[in-house]
Amino acid sequence: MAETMLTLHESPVSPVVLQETLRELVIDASAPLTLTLTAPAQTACSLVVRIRRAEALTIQVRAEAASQLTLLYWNESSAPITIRESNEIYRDARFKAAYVQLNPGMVDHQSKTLLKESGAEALVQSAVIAQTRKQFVVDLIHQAGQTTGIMENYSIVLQGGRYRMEATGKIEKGARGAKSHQTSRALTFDAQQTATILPKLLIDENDVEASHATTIGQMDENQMYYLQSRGLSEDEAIRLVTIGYLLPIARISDDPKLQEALAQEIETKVNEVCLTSSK
Amino acid sequence: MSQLMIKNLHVEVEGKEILKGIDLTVADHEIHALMGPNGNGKSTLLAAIMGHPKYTVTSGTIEYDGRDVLAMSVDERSRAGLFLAMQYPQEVPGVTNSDFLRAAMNARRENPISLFSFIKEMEKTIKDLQMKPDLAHRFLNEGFSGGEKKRNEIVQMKMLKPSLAMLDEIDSGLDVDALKIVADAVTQMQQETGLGMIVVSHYERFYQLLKPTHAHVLINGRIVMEGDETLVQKIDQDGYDWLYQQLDLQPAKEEVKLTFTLGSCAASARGRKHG
Repeated sequence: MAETMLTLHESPVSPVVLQETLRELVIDASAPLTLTLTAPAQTACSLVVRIRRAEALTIQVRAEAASQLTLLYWNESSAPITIRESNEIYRDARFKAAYVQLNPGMVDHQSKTLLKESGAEALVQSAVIAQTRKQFVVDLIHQAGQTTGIMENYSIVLQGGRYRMEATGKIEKGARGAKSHQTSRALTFDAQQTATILPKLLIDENDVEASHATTIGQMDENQMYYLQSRGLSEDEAIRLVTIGYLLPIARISDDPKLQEALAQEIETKVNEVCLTSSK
Repeated sequence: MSQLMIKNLHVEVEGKEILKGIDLTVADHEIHALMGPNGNGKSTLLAAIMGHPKYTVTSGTIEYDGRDVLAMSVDERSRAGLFLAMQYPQEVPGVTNSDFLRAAMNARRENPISLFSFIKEMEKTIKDLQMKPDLAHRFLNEGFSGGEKKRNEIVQMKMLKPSLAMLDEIDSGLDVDALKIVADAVTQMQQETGLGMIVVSHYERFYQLLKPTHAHVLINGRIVMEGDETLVQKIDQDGYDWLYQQLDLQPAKEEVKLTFTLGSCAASARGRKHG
């Protein structure tokens, strides 16, 4: 089966029914664009959504029963962008979404994922370099029992950057056996950086699992000492740790070529950052 | 011939003097056993030689090959040939062993090591230490057992080829078989390269395998007795009480540490200037 790529320029866009052969979707729109994606029941699809140009994006995703859907949103634009995204995940569907925001443009991203039926699973990840204002509101809402929602947010905040992450895991009444876990970490380098992380767990049911972990701060002094004690300069140690900080997002894809490309992009961006920070 | 020379070294940690005048000379081919009860300054001495920022040298000198070690940054000390296998190796999530080690090897070479040569050397070293083959791809020390972390320190030592190695309780956390594997690897390297060593251990078994040429006992921040391997055997048999009596010393009082845990929820921070 030949792999296909779809390029979207302007609204209205017909709803896209995902299929295994569709591997890449390019958004190059000069006006607000609404995108509707559906993964039919019992299908599997792994899609890169490459954002070349878009000022306002509305995305509606539906992962039907027992489907497996991986979406990697890779913002290649450096212009400001607003994203309003909602995902509905049905019985036994496995949904993974990753947001890669490494460029300097301002970002205002709201994401809401509803785990609507039992057995639904969602993994939502973000990798962000914040050189300007980048704000995220990410909600994972458990509306049924035996659902799993995991959120992992990693950011590097540079001089002049303002990073804000409101991360909410909500377990509604009746969602017994739900598991909601989230981790958010922000790494700061320099003065004039602001990072705010607001992790929330809203739980209205017993017999559930929920956790959150949050850290904001500079490089761990002991890690730096350890790396330097093996001969790495301070800049090289910072570079290694920083790449390692963002790299886990590349593993969301099972495509080795895509993983490599994303890893390369992260490395290039981090090298630029480390070069700048060391000056 | 390389030589580490420490003279009248005084070291403070958070305003408290831990080392109160250490004199020690270690040359190539020599293996120095550094012994003493817990909390008397052994790890402090090794960390101060390596340049841990928490330890402040208030007076004294450290020279290696005639160069002023105290004037060097931590990474410069490493590139000068010093290596510290740590008691508690740091976990560095996100950084794989292979990326880290390759970067560390390249840091001390004019031309980067080829990927082929690196993989070949790493595979051999992992095999020598009888570690799992996936070690190269795992994050640095993350999720490692205590024994794996210690063996990974020796993997690094073998790959980086220092001229003076310090082992800080590298045998703790190792089972009998692993202890032998580590001791064999260290001994083989020592015999092949003639590197000088300072070894901190509480167990004669490890010293039996390494065969130290010198032994020192460090109590209350001072080296109070020196000898050879027979001193290690005596301490293993009789402990330190006879030394306290003979030298009219008082054991250091152990500090009682209170630990408070603060729960955390939302976090907000403004960064500080790095470095």
